[in-house]
Amino acid sequence: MIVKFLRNKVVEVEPRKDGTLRVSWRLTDDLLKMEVNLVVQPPALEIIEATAELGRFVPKGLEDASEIIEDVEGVNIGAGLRKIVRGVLGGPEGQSLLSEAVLECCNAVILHFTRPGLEIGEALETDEERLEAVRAMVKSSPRLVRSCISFQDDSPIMKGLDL
Amino acid sequence: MLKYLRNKTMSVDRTAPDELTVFGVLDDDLYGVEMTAVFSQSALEILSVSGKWHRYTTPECPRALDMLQPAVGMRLEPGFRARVAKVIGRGACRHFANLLLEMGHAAKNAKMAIEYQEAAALDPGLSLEAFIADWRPDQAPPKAAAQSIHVKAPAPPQPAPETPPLADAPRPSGGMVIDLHVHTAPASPCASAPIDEIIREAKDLGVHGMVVTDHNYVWTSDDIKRLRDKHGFLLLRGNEVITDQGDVLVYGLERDIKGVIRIADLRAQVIEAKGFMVMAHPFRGFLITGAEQMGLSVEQAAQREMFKHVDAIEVLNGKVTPDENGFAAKVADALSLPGTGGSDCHEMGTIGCYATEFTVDINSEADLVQALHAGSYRPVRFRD
Repeated sequence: MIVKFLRNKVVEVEPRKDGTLRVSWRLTDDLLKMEVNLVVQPPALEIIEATAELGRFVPKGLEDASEIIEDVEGVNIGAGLRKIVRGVLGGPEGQSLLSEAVLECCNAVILHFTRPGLEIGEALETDEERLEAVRAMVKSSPRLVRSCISFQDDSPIMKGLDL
Repeated sequence: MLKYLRNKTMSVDRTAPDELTVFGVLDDDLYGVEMTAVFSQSALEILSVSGKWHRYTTPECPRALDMLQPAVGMRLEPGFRARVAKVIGRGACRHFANLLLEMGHAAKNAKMAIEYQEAAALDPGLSLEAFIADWRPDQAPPKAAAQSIHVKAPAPPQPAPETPPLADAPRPSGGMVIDLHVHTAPASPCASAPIDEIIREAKDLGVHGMVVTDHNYVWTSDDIKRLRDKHGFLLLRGNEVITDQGDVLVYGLERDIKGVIRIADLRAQVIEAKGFMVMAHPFRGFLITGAEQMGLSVEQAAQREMFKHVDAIEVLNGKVTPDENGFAAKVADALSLPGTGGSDCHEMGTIGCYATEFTVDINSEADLVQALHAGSYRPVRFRD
């Protein structure tokens, strides 16, 4: 059977010598070829540079994506990010493809910073130690509570946490 | 050297005349998941779904596989994203939800590609651009009863609890206690508690007044007066405005602002109206990481653009961690900006956890703005 549609997406975060992070996001599918690049300045995680390039069958409204995306420069990856990015790139009815690409870049930056903490927990020797590490993470980050199946009230992780 | 990389791949096969089978993989440094979902081509409805883990971060993650079935029956229609985020993201796993959304988008594009090929077979001169310009995914036959798969509706995920109170936050000392940050349903789409119920709870608790700060929503003065009279309770109006620098609480500006506004433009409007601006929860972090993990110092944080445009900083907010509140307080000190407190209440049981205590009587919105400008207040912890 010949496949009817294929899509590949990749996003990568690369720390640079000047202390910034370069985030590169690329999408290739049967209809669209798209690339978004951000430069993010820690520790405030300000987006200091944003570029976009589209090819193949460019959706209506995204012909000027390279100019539109500049509106996210100056935005911090922080509280209210989704509302801000969707808002500055054209509002809820606006350039959803572009705003979702930027949000995926930002999510990659967040996960880039999440990785070291998870690595510390993984390096622990026993299951009990690892469980305690996860519990400590929940205590310090109450937003995790009920955020997914692992942190629902009936999860063994949550036993005795009283959150 | 790369420290983080995520790949997502999707392929769509037409496995029956009205069935698109989508196979998706999400693979990154932390998580590895794959899913297979069958969509009806006509209605883009999920007919079946299954998943598999390859890499995860907690011992409970595998349980997510049992919680994917509520996706069956969902359609790619307005609200699909929010439903998947709520039911699959919170009830199962946000990474499966992420992948399923991507697979839905791929199914939609595959439907368009297939329908173009069929149309082009009848009209060889039809260009893809011309076809896409007129194509709509909802040009599908009505949902056939035979295709419906009835599943038990999942229990709505419960919201996260309030964060533990900041132990050393000051308590009220006889002044007038007003919660300056309250959301109500349905004015704020993210809130679940109607205003009448919140007012009753606030009164029972002993809060003296509250300011409704629904997102980009302006209550009419008539509605507020009616509620004040009905409950015999001090109810005032504010607004939580989305700016390019984050959420800003605004008092004394009666203007319906839609979408996102540049913070400098909002500042100009507030100055003209002689209103007051408070930077809301400025250091609210992400699920696991926050400002501390980024290595952000108080001095660096104080340089952020947002603080150049506000009169005060919310240093006690009920939706952030004690560390984030503490950090906001340090930044406010560094900038010599006053601090406020508010619950950021969105549901019952949360009003008044933090509030602001005024040393003068407040009876109107004009009184409130005047007292804020005069600095006659301090943030307090009110409810345990």
